[in-house]
Amino acid sequence: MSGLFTGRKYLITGVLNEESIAWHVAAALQAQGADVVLTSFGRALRVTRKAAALLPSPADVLELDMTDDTHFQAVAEEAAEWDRLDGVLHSVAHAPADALGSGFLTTPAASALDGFRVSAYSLQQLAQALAPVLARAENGGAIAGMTVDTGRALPGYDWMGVYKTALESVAQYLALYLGPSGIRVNLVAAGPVETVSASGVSSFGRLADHYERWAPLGWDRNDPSRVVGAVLFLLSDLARYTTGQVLYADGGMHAVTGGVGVPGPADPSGRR
Amino acid sequence: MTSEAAPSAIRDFINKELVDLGVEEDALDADARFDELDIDSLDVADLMTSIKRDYGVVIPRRDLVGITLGQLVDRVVSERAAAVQEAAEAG
Repeated sequence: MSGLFTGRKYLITGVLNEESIAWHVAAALQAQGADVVLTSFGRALRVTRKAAALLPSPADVLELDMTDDTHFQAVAEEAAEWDRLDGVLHSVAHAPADALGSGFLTTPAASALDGFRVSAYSLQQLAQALAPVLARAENGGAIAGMTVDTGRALPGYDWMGVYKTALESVAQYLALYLGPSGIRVNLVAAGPVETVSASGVSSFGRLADHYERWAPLGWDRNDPSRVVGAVLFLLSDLARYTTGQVLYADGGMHAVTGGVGVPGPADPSGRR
Repeated sequence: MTSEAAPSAIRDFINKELVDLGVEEDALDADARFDELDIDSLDVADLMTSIKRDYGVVIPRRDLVGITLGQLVDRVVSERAAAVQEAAEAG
C-alpha cells in the first residue's frame, strides 16, 4: 500500500494553526509524498501562513473566503493552471455565537442562516470551482469534508449540528452530480478534537469528557491524529468506489449508548 | 528555534506580538491576566503559533486560563529549556 500519495496534489482548507485537524491531514499527506496547497482568509490568513511554515514542507496559502464568490473564481483559475489536483479537504465551518451554546430556542433567523453558507453551502461552491481539474485526476478526484455525529442532538452544538446535517446532504447531492465525472464526495464524522473552533462551543469539555469515558475504543480530544487516517483513506485510491459516505472516526461513540456500562475506567490519556 | 531564549528576550517577543495584535502597550504588565487582555481566540492562536515557530514551545490553550503575562513568559522559558535539553540528548 505504499505510494498512495506520492506525487499527488491536494488543496486543504481549514488550517488555522497546528491544532487544526486540517493541519494534521496536510502534514500526513506531505509525509506520504504529496504536495499540498492551503487556503485561508481575513485575519486568519497570517496565522495560517505561520502554521504552513511549520509543516514538514512549507506550503503555499491561497486566499479563499467561503462567502466570497470572486475568491472561488480566483481559486478555480489558479487550479486550472496546475498539472494535477487529486483531492480537496473541506474543513471549515462557522456559526455565530448566538447559534451555539444552548440558545437554540432563541437564535434569530439572521444568525441561524448566517452559518449555513460557510458550514454547508460552501462545499458545493468548492466542489464546483475545482470539479474541472479534479475530473482530470487519473484515479478520480476526491473531495472530503468534516462533520460530527449528526445522528443525535449534541448539547451546545445546536445550529452547527443542523449545518452539519445539511453538509451531509450537500455531500450526497454532490456525489450524485459529480460521480459521472469520476469525482467522489465523502465526509469524516470526527469525535471532539480540541481546536480553536472547539473553543467556541461552551459544552465542548463535557462532550469530550463523555467520549473519553464511553467511546468503545477510547478517545483523546488532544490527539487529532485519530481522525487523520479516515480522511487519508477517503482521499486515497483505496476509496475509489466509495462516495456519498460518512465515515466515523470517533472511537465508536456513535454506535453505542454511553453512560450505562462497560467502556470503563476513565483514563485521562483516553487510551485503553 | 533559533531565537534568543533569555527571559527578557522572550518577554519582549511576546509583548511585541501582542502589540501587533492590537493590545495597548500599557496593558502589558507582568501581573496582567492573559485572559483579560483585549484579544480573541484568533489572536491567541496567532500568538501561540508564533511562540511555536520561534521557540518550539507549545502551550495548551487550557493552561492559559487565569495565567498572568509574567507566568506565560516563565512557562515559555522553562519549556524552551526542556525542549533544548531534549534535542541535545536526542542529537
